Amino acid sequence: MREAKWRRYARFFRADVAADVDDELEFHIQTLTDKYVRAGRTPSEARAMALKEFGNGQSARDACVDIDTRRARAEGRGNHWSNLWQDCRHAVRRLRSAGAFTTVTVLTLALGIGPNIAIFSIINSVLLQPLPYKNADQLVRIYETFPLPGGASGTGSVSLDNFLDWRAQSKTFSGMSLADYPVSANLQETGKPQRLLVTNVGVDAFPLLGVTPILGRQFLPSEAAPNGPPVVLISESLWRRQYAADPAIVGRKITLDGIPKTVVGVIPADIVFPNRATPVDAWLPVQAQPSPNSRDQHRYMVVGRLRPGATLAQATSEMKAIAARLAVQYPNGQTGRTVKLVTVRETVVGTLKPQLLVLLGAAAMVLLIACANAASLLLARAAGRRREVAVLAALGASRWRLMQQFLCESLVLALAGTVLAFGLAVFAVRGIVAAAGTTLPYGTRTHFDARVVAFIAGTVLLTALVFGMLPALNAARSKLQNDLRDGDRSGTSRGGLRHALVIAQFALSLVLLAGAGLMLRTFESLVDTQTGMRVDHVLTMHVPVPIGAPPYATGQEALDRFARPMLTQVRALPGVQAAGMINLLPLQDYGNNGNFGIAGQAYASDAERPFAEFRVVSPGYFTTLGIPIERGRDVAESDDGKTQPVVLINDVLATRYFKGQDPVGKALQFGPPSATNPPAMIVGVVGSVHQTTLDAQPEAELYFALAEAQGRLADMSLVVRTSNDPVAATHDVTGVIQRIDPNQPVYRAESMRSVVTDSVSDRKLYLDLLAGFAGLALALAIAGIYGVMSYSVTQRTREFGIRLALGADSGRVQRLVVKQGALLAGAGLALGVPIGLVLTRSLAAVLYGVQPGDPLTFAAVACLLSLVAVVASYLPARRVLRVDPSIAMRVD
Amino acid sequence: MKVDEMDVLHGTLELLVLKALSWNAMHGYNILAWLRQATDAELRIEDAALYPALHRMEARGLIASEWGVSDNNRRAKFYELTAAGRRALRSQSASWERYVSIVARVLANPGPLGRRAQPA
Repeated sequence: MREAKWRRYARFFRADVAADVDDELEFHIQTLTDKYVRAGRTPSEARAMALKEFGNGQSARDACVDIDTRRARAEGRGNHWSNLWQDCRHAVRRLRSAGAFTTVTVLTLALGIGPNIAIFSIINSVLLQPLPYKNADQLVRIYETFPLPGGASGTGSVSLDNFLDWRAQSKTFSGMSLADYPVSANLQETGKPQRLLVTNVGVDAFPLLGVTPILGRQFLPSEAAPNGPPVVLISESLWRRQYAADPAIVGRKITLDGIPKTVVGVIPADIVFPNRATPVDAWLPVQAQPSPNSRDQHRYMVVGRLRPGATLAQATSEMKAIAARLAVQYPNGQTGRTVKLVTVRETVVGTLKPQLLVLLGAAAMVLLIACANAASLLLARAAGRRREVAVLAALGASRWRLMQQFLCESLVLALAGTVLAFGLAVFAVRGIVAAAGTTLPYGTRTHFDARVVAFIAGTVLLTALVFGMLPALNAARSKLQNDLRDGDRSGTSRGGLRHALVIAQFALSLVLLAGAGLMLRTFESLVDTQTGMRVDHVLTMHVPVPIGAPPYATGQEALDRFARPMLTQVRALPGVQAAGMINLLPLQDYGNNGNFGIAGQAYASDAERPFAEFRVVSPGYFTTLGIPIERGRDVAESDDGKTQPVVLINDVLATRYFKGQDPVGKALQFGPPSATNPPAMIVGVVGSVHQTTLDAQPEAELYFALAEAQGRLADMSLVVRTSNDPVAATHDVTGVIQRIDPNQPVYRAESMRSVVTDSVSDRKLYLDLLAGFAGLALALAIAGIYGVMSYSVTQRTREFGIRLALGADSGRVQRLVVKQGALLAGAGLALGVPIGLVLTRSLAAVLYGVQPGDPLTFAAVACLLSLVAVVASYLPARRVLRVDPSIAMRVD
Repeated sequence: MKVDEMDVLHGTLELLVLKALSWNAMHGYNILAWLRQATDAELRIEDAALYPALHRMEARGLIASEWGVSDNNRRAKFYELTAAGRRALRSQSASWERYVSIVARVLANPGPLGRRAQPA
């Protein structure tokens, strides 16, 4: 009778208790039967007599099964674990004796696991950790949107009046507060002047966010009054670095931009409100009240807390209704304006989520490639250990036990790889966070919490299973007799497996390299973008000049006593060709724009008025950055507002609003016309530059003369064109500034070229990481194919010997090997191209100037991989030359 | 069944099995065969009754089993003594011998005197 099929599997895992008892008793009865048959009885008679003599078989059987079942149950688990422990200890011992194999495998795995731990801990920090605010899910940013020419709309800041109306009318929000955009302020303490980043916030902003000062108190409602008391909240990091964490800081006065302010509290270090990535050093209370024009001055960011139970959709429709009412009430400034609501989490995490997930996917691919290499190494090693395995099996080791031994080895290797990978990842995360600049939110770091530990544990187990399963299964189903005889030298099935691994590696490498290639093309397209400027040989730095406090009570004083002498002296420095100033340096700062009117034209509402970016420049700015003055003239020192106000426009504005006319000499009106607000005359047209980002088209832009708008001196950038290395001139230029005003700090001194590069730093980081992963993938794939081809050459030494002995020339045999390698790589590439075409679509959002399935990129990557495959196969193939047929054929 | 067979005393089958296995591994049939031979077939042991005893002893770690091939080329389960089994054999045979000698001494005693009134 045939055994039921499932029983065989049951026995594979655990001895089948009942069947064993039956077999044992049956043996006894059979032996008794034999005895009677020998004594001359017929088989059926003999059987009956045997059963009779045996006695009560049924009760004996039941008793035995009962005893054995209890025993199996009691011992099962304990035994299993002790076996596992024993196998792991053996694995460690075996691996330590196979030093080279172990080192290579552990390194390979570490290179595969490291990126995964690094990217996951960033994901954990950025996407999975809660924001440092109470019930952060209820927090929503509220923007105003404004109409743009052509029916589009822009998203911008909020005016004080609109904010007050929103707060008064909204019922879906339990609270709403506001903040200014952070600006620089000079901290004048003993020693070197320091530039701080400060911002005005609503007095109720921190209570609304659920942020409590670690020292001192919140702002008081009375401190919101116009000309209220000069108070300041400072950040924990400023408190620690500047005041040595002095607990007596509360109540002390610090001097900001020449004005003493009383410190009332210290805000915890993880709070960078209203920023996302750049830490803020100090917060001042918003001390403003509506004025006749303030509804049209859009300068605040607004954050609200949804009432419990209120949804974003409800809040959005309510706020839109409020905005619509305001547009009816104030048609002149509010027509076409509405609101946009975005959760605070979204403003912090934003576009990072898809990018980080793509990176995790890329890291997972690197791990798969590393696993393929490790599996290949294990297979080669298992081939060398076949005889040992066969002996173990002959001695009664079960298949499961054999598999367990192999898997233990994989687990030990994966664990060792992970320990190494962990160290690599800690450094990598630090490097990535440092390189990320403002791409990652503030406070991104490796949190080693339960989630990361679980991820690492999962990765170890999965890795061990993925790369250990193939060799383990292979060992478990090996043919004992063959292996014991050691006659089977073909190893074809194992060779096939290893070839399949090489194909998979090449397919994955192609996908990763294509992704990196597309990012590289994107980056090149961005950098090649005509910025509209000559960015070489230009030094830039921020020179914030406080106005309204000593030493400069007015803008005019700051201009006369600081800005003008500084420009004159800088221009006189040796090696300086030109110098100028602008309030918002292209590709670094932005965010000042508005509507205006062309004199002589009537507009029904703001929505119909022309719209442009507003900038303030000193004479010499355009020359310094190589921006061509296409018509008319530059601003001059004499454009000081005492005569006719002047303005320059860029050619986008000229084309958009003065088609077919000469704009020079035309007048523009900003705000309501009056005796004190005369129209400004266009005196020149300049070339357009990319103001915000390289991948956004240049906007219409207007330039005012610095001498007319001295108030803008508060945060100006200085630009200097030099004959030599611009950064080398930093010392001379700051020297000039220090001589004019020793209390004047400068910050962010860098070349214009690096300003341009920084503006694409998020993509640069993405490119660097993808390129890093692709490089790892390539290196692993090279190691993989080289290993497999070397092994194959060694395995086929006898075959090559015979071929050579039969007269094949060595070149032909070598070509045979290279051809095999090239075929494997080719199969991998053929598999990888369709996968790559699908997967690179996930990059579409960050690509610029190149399409996801770009044929040129794919072709270049495929060529690179083919070349690599041929070289990696050629090197082992050269060993064929050294094969001596007479020796090779004797290899047993 | 012969008339002069004796039942195995409760608890001594284990000792007999330990002794049977003290030389080498055996399957159940051979254990019985050896016991019959060693006792000149004077002890009555039912074949079926041996097996629960063997399995109990295995569960207690006194003996260990392994499948092997018998003389008649059949798959049979062989039992052998474990270290614990060997220790058990030593201590149990010592206490058995002591027990037997005590019982023998008692039986050799002429019997208690003076308690019972002697017939006059």
